[in-house]
Order: sequence, then C-alpha cells, then structure tokens
Amino acid sequence: MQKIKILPDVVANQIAAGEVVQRPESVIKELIENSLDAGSDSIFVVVKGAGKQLIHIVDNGFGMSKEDLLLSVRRHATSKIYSSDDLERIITYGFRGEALASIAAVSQLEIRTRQKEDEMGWKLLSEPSKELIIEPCITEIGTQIFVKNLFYNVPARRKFLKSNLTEFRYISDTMIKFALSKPEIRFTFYDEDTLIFDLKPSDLINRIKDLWGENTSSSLLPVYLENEYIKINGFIGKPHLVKQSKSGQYIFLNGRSIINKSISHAIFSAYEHLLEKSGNPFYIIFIELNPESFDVNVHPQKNEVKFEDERMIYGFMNKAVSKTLQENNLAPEYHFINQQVSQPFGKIDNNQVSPDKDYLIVNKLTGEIIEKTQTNSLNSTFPQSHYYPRQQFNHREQAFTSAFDKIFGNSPNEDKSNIDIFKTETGESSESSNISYWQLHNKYILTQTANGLTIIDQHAAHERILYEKALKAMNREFSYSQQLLFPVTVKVTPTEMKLIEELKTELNSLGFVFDFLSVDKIEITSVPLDTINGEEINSFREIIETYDEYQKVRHTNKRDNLAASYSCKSAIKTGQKLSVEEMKNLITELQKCEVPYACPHGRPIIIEFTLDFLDRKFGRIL
Amino acid sequence: MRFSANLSDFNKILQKTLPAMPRKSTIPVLEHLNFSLTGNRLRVIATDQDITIMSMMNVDGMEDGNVLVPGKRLNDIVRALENKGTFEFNSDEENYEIKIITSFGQYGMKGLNPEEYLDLPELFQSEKPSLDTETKDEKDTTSSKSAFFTKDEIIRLADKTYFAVSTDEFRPAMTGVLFQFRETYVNAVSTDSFRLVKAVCKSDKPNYPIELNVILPSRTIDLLRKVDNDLFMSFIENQKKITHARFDFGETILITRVIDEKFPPYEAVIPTDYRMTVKVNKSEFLSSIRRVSIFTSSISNQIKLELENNEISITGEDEDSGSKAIEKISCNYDKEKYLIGFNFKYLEDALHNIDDDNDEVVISFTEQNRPAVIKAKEDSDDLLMLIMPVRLN
Repeated sequence: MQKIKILPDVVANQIAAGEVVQRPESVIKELIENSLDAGSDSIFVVVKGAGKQLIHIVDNGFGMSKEDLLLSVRRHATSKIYSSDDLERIITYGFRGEALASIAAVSQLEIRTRQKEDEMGWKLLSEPSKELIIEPCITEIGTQIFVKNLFYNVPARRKFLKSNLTEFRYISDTMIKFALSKPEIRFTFYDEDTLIFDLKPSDLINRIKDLWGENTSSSLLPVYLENEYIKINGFIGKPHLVKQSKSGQYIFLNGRSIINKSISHAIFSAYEHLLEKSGNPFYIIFIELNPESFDVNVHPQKNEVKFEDERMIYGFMNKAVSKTLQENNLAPEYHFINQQVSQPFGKIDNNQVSPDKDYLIVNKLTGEIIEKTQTNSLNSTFPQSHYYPRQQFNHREQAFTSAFDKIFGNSPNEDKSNIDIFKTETGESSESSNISYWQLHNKYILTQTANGLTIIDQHAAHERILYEKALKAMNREFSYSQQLLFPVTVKVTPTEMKLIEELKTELNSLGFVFDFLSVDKIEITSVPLDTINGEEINSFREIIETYDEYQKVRHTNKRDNLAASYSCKSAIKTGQKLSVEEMKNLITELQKCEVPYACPHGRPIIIEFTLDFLDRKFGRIL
Repeated sequence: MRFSANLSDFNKILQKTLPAMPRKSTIPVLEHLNFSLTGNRLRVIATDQDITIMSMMNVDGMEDGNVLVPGKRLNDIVRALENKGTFEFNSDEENYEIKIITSFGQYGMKGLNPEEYLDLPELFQSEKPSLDTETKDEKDTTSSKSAFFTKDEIIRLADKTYFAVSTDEFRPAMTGVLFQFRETYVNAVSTDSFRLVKAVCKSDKPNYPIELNVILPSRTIDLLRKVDNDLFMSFIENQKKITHARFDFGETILITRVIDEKFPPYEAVIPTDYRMTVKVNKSEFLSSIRRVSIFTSSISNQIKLELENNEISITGEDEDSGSKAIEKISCNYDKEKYLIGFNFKYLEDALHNIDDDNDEVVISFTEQNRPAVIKAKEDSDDLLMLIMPVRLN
C-alpha cells in the first residue's frame, strides 16, 4: 500500500502550473500584469512559434533586487499582498504569488533584472528539477523574461495546445486587451520578426484607431454613466460593426479584462433589434467599481468576476448603452415617428411595452425619447424596448419578416419557400403582378407593397444572397470553378500565406483553385464562376485581406467569416445602376434567403414605411 | 474666325471627333473641341489624353482663326438642327464668344482661348504623314513600321477580338488587343483569361512590319470597329519605344496611347495535340445552348457537353432549384464517352463571333484542364478561339 507523502515542490508546482498557465497566452498575461504592477510604461513582447518556443517580455519597470529575484520563482511569493486583509482590496493585477513559480515549473526560464539604483543587474536561470543559477549581469533598468520551450517537461499538456494559429490568436487577443486597458502604455508586439503592432502612448480612441483602423474608430459611440457606486465609460460600436463572434467585445473592471455573461447580455439587449439575433455588437467598456463589492479570486485566471449586486450592474449597464444608442438616434428612423407633428413633445401610451401602464415622453420632431424621470432605481432593469412604440418592433425579426411578407403578400405563418413574388392567381394579389421597381440614387430599390412603401438596400441584399450561397457552396461536395488560360501569380504576406493554407479547402469549394509556388507566392488556376468579371483576382486578394482583418478581432467559424468577406467583396456595389429585371431578380433571390432582413454584418436590408405612417405624416390621420 | 458650312457634313466631323472628348473631365478644357480654320480647311481636335482625334473638312472660310468650343453644347444644337441646311460659325478672337447663325435664329456660347488647350506632344507632327492619300505609297517606303488595312480588314480584326478583352485592371496587358505584325500577316489577339480570340489578316505582299508587337486599348479597338475608310497605321516612338499608334483614314487621324505591357504568352496555351475534333451545325448548337442554359444555375452558368455515339448531349442543371434540361444534337464522334463543362456564355459568344454565312463550326478538345479550340473551318486559322472549361467534380 502506498503511503501518503508530501509532494516534492517540483511536482506541486507542476500541478499548480496547470491552473495558472494553461497556454502560452496565460504566460504572457501573467508576465505583462507583473510588468504593469512594476510601473512599466513600455512593454515589449516577442513570441516565437506562437509562444510555444519562446516568449520574451521586456519592460522598463522597477526591476528586482537579488533577494526578490530569488524569491520570485518560489510559490506564493508576491510583493503585492501581505495579509488576507489586503485580499479585500486588490488593486494590482497579480496577487496570488503563483505566476513565476508556475511558469518556472513548466519551462526553461531566464530572468534579467536591474533596479534603478543598482549599477549591475542580476540574471536568473531556472529549469525544472535543476538548481537555480543566479549571477550578476549587465542589463537595462527593468525586467526581461525569457520563457523557453513551454511545457517541454509536461508532454500531455503540450499535446493539448492548439495549432499555432489558434494559440497566436489567443495571445494577440490578450495583447489587445492590455493595449486597450492601458492606452497610456506603449506596447510593442512581434511574432518572430514580424511586427504585429507598436502602439505609442495615446488615449483610448486613438488606441482603438491604431488597432482597428479609422473605419472602426469612427463608427464608435461614447458611453458614459456614473453614480456614487459605479462608473461606466468606453465605446460601443454602431450596429454595422456587428460581428458573428463575441471577440469584438471587451469589458474591463477596474482596468482588468473580465468575462461576464450578465454584463454582455445587458449590452446586447440594449441594442435589441438593431442587431441580428446571432450578431454581437462591438464594445469596449470600462467599469469602475469599489474593489470591495466584487470578487476576482474566483478562478486562478482572474477573468471571471463575482459581483455583490449583479442585478444593479446589469440594469446600470443596460441603461448606459441604451442612453448612448438613443442619443445617437440609431434605430431606423421610422421606428420613432408614429405621432403627429403639431406638438413637439407628447406622451405615448406605453402599456404595450410593459404591463404597468407606463408612458414615455417623446420629442416628436426628432423622435428622441426623453426619459420620463430618473426615478428608476439602479437595480431595476430598464424596460428593454422602451424607446420604440412596440407594436411593430417588439421583435426585430418579426418586424422585418412581416415587412417581407407584406411585400410578397403572405401571412407570417406561411412557409417562405412557397412565397411567389409574382403571384397573380387571386384577384387580391393581382396588384403585385405589376409591381414597379424604382432605383433611388443607384443605391436603394423602392417598391410598393400592400401596405405602403418598401426600401431595399441593394448592396446589403446582394451581400446576403451571396453570403448564403457561399455558405452553401462551402458545405457541398463540388464547386463551380472557371479555369484560367493564364494562371495568375499572387504575392502574399507570410500571415496571409498561413491563412490561405488553412483555408485551402474552403477557398477551393468557393471556386478558387491554386498551387503554392513558394513561401510568398501562389498561382491561381481557377476562379469562381459567379464573381464580377475582371474582378476575380482582385476579390481573392480582398477576401484574404478582409478575412485577415476579421480574424484579428474575432475567433469565429472560419466558414462564416470567409463567406462574409467573400460576399461583401463580390456583391454589387452601391452606385451601380440596375435594370428592372435585375431588381426583380435580386428581390426574388433575396426572398429565398434564410435571413432576408439583415446583411451578414447585421445592417438591415429592408425598411418599410406603412401607408398608415405616411398618412399620419401627411396629416390625413391624426 | 468665321465660316459657313453644310450642317450634315459638319455633323460628320463632330461624330468623328467627339468619341475622344471626355464627357466629364477634371481638366475642363478637354470638354471642348479645338477648332482652327485656315483658308477653307477646318480642323477639329478632341482628346482625353489617351486617345486624340483630329479631323478635317472643307468649309466656306471667311476669316481664319482658332477657338475652343464647348463640345457637348455644340453637338446638342447641331443634332437639334436635324442636319438640315447650312449655318454660319462666328467667333470673336478677343473674347472667344461664339455665335452660330442658322435660318431659325442665332445661338451664342462662350468659348475658350485656344492657348489654354493641352500641348499635344507633337503627335501630329512626328512623322508628318499628310492627309493626302496620294502620298501614302511614299510613306510606305520611308517607314518599315507602318501598315495598310482596308476598311473591311480593320473592322474585321477589331470586331472579332473586341468582346474577349479583359476588364481586369490588375492585368493591364489583357485590357487591350495585341497586334502582332509579321510581314505578310497580322494577328489580332485578345483574352480575358477565360477565353481567347485570334483573328488573322493576311496579305500577298510584305505589307506589314517584319516583326512588331503592340497592344491597343479596348476603347481604340471599339473606335476602329466604326471606321469609314481604308486605314494607314503607323507608330510614334519615344526613345526607341513605341508610345502611340496612329491611324490615318480619310480626313481623320486617330492617335492612341498603346499599352506598354507584356502580353501573356498565348501561343503556348493553344493546343496542337487535339484528342478529338467534332463538326457541328452552328445555329443548331447555338439554339440548343440557348434553351438548355435557361435551366442552369444563375451562379454557375455551367453547361456540360457529353460526346458519345455521334451525338453531343448538352445538359444544364441547377441543383439548388431542381431544374434540369438536356438536348442532343448530332456530330461526327464515335469514340469513347467524353465529358466537359463550360460557362455557356463563353460558348455563345464564340459561336456568335463566327461569320453568319458559316454554317458549320469545328470544335477540338484535348483535356479537361486545357482549352477547347473553336474554328470556323477546319483547315483555316483566320479565326481561332479558345475557351477554358470549368472544373467538373
């Protein structure tokens, strides 16, 4: 029988390492937190082999003395808390004293550090089950850490690491989180020799611009709400920045990136029907809260948080986001204007929204809702759809499908596949047989419906059609592909090459067939049959570029992602003139789509103005 | 400057020059026609900097001069005057006010100082081929780099190749038609990488430059489809490099920039080792394709040809909507079954491109990843077309 023994340190650390250090990304996270806690204002990160081979971090913080350096790789050695009282007021990132010890247990670790007041620094070499080596060395002020061959002594764990691409994505996501939470700090990030980013100290909005580009930063709306307990600020994306995954979503609690389903839901529900159901809004939200009112020590990775009063947070967050969306009048305009124009302010009976005979005050000229009172206590959730007269819009999907059904004269319950736009068999729908189509500014298609006027965004509509076709194409066994007389050589960057290799099957099924010529060249021999003539190679490039951009900010299903970039690049553009036939065809095709009311980015495709609305607008009905 | 002219003659010179005038330009002066009058000769120039056209006509000159005339307005009024009768053109050399006087009345517009017009880089002087037809022969001897085409020859070369020109800006060489001069013949070749056309024009005499390649932009080709006269082609060089091609026809000179790119090595892709060659009736084949194509998927435009037992089965299918069509036409093929797919639009284009009086079409196949060759006649290579098949799974 085995006797019970106390585990040797090495083994104990290896086991604990499993909790803190799950993947290269966690090493980087722990080490950057240490650097930040050490007061660095410039942090430099290099990874090799997605961090599996090497992680190298350089900061310009306080550095460590020889004694501290020796202690740092011991378990529960931390400079950040001294007693359990301190645990109640955690303001630094790290506190468990596990990070370096855990990392040291599963890698070859080298630390070089120097304090400002010392002339010489110290170098520590650590390798599991070997003696520590510590010796003086010449180094800059601050700390440099090399983590080599992570998990080399724990093959089981190494085996569970994902592909380099995936692991790298985890790392870059973490880098982005730090970059967002500390815009005043310079972050430099290299993948081997490739510079991923070098972010100069700046403010949040400029940092966002540096990371995602002007397109994103100019599509953001500021969020701000505060009371004595809690302060929320940050940015939310306009609905068109919607993503299919949750990766464009960042929540920081007192500067620490956290994941919290309840807060995410509060934000999402504030968008309500501005987004497709599966869409995820883009947001970067900072919450400031008294450290005593939540617990971060739920999980060693510290990204889950327990709040004392979760309902209050939910309500407050929902309110903050709703307020921003309202102030920017983002809901399609027709949502608001259900009233007469004569007096600027009026009440709308809100009993359809919530059962308690509520009402809202509306500026009838602008459609803005004026909050009736500030009596909403913080922990009561705000009525989710309070700013829309509910009837049409309680549920976005319904609104659009019903608009759709009205165009095609169908009851909502009828199976969509039976809808026939040119249906003429009954007297009642004979009207629809001579529906006329009209193109507005080569951008929108206007058409008459049984109940009024419908406007369709031609680009978004075509995008949706192509998106669904592309998804279908990628899921079927064969493809349509036109071979080329003269294959085209395309030069790509190493990252693009990685992508192309990974997406080969999907690209093939879209119709792009190619050979790899060299490390940075591919030769395209076949292209899809349905792209715009003369644009095939152009769209291939753009698809890869767009996909790459998407990739950086979201970890989504690659097929969705590819389909979205493919459809956006191949769809007819705004500004293209369409013949009546083309418009008809577009609408027929749109009608076959599974989600005909929003484009893959979540923008609406169809907007309907009812006769009733127009009559009110013209003062025929009061 | 003052002259009077017959409206219908005047309209002709406008229609010849206006294609080179941009409708909208960031350089407003280009939206004007450059008029100059010497004696009884009126010269009109228009340019968009890629293509420049100069044309001349006889008028009743009264006072020499030079002025820039707003092109669109001039064209509009001439059209509205319906080509009837004569008119008088009158411009003030001081303030460039232009008057057009007809029997209906008088129309005024503001012209521009001709000195504001672009300096045309001596395009018209370079070789000084005069517009007199008599001197043509003389030029032939002075320049080895010139060619003579009859009106029908040039129209044919342009017409046959125009449709296959690529619009892909990434491959500029393919946005034009390659003219290969080989002393006794000229190849005109265009491709958009999905199909290729080669039209050949032969001469009994060594009429053409010995060896010269030049790519003409598709817009120029479009204009050449409409020439109304035999044509003399020459080249303008800058530092031993051909920068422009020049066409003299009738009283008109057209000068076009050439595309300074390398045309893809098209000879290499023309198969010579055919596995099979079939002859089919052109109009039968064309109408079969037209009917079957109705049932193809709008994404793919794909039809399949299956050769077996002296028949071609043409099938079109749209799996998404469940539509399907099949037709059979006869052909001379009795070897093992052969299956190949095409974008039907390319097949249609190619068949349409064969002259109407040609009832038969000859199609040769090699492999599924190599182009099919379409000719009007088996033993003639006056017109040869390649179409790349679609990949069948």
